[in-house]
Amino acid sequence: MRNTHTIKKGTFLKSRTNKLIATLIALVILGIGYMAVRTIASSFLFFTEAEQGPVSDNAVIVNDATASGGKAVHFKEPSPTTPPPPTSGRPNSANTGVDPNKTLPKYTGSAYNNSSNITLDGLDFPAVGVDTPLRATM
Amino acid sequence: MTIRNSKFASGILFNGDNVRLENNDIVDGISLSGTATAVIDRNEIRDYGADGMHITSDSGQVSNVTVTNNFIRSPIPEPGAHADGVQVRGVNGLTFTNNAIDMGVWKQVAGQDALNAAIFLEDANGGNSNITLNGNYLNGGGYILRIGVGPNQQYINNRFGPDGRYGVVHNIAKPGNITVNSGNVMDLTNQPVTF
Repeated sequence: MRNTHTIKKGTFLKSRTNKLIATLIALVILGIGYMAVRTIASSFLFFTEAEQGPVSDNAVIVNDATASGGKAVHFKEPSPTTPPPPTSGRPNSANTGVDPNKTLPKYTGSAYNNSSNITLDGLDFPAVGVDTPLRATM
Repeated sequence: MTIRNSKFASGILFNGDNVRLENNDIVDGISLSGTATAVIDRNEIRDYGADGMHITSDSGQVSNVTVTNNFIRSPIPEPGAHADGVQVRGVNGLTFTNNAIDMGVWKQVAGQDALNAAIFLEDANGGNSNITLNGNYLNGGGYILRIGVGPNQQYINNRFGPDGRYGVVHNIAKPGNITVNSGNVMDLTNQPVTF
């Protein structure tokens, strides 16, 4: 019986060339991947860590053992003084201030020195005296 | 410090930085003294004897103040007072947007003028710079708006009520101080207010 599975010489050579090309492509892709990881959002010609650059007021550099170089940039929560968006309509007693039907607990803290970064929510601050405002010194 | 949804019976004076006041009912006004960065939003400020809001650099530079959506009304001046809805005596960076400041109809106390202006920008304590008034309703006082010298002042789309006793705007800014001036009108007639 005649062997029908004979491999021709030319076919064998083509297959070998294709393998070489495939290997080269794989190596190029691996190289690009390595460079992308290594340069960390930088360019191929310049290497830097994010925390080595200047950071804005809402970010700080922290120690992080899991980060490259042992440090990372940590973004803080938005400042409590972020300007609010404007509302529509002219302000009046109905859309400003406190609900007049709401009973608020009396504030019993110091009348003259309410310090630091605290939030006071839903309190009734009693009168301090005639022409004497509450004083908040931070 | 942040204070919200609260009532004040005799005013509050802040002496420090990073203030946020929102949705409060404040009798007898608020003061910022030497404050860097403040946001004052959706408060009703009423029944004040001197100023509804007093901003002063007497104890340090006030800067970066944003005032939005507040209702400032009903002064109760004492004899000899010159009450303002808002008096500013030194600030660098002040933005007023969509506030209603209504001093009401003209009145005297004990036979003397007692109301000054809805907003009074006074050249004191280092002066005022980088001021923006945008989309506010202003009414009442001798003059409704008093403008002093200081660089980069912008007045945009403000509406003026009918109750300025001596005039609408008293402007003593120097040429070039006001960098934007557009869309300011009388509220009842839409007539342009030029200054």
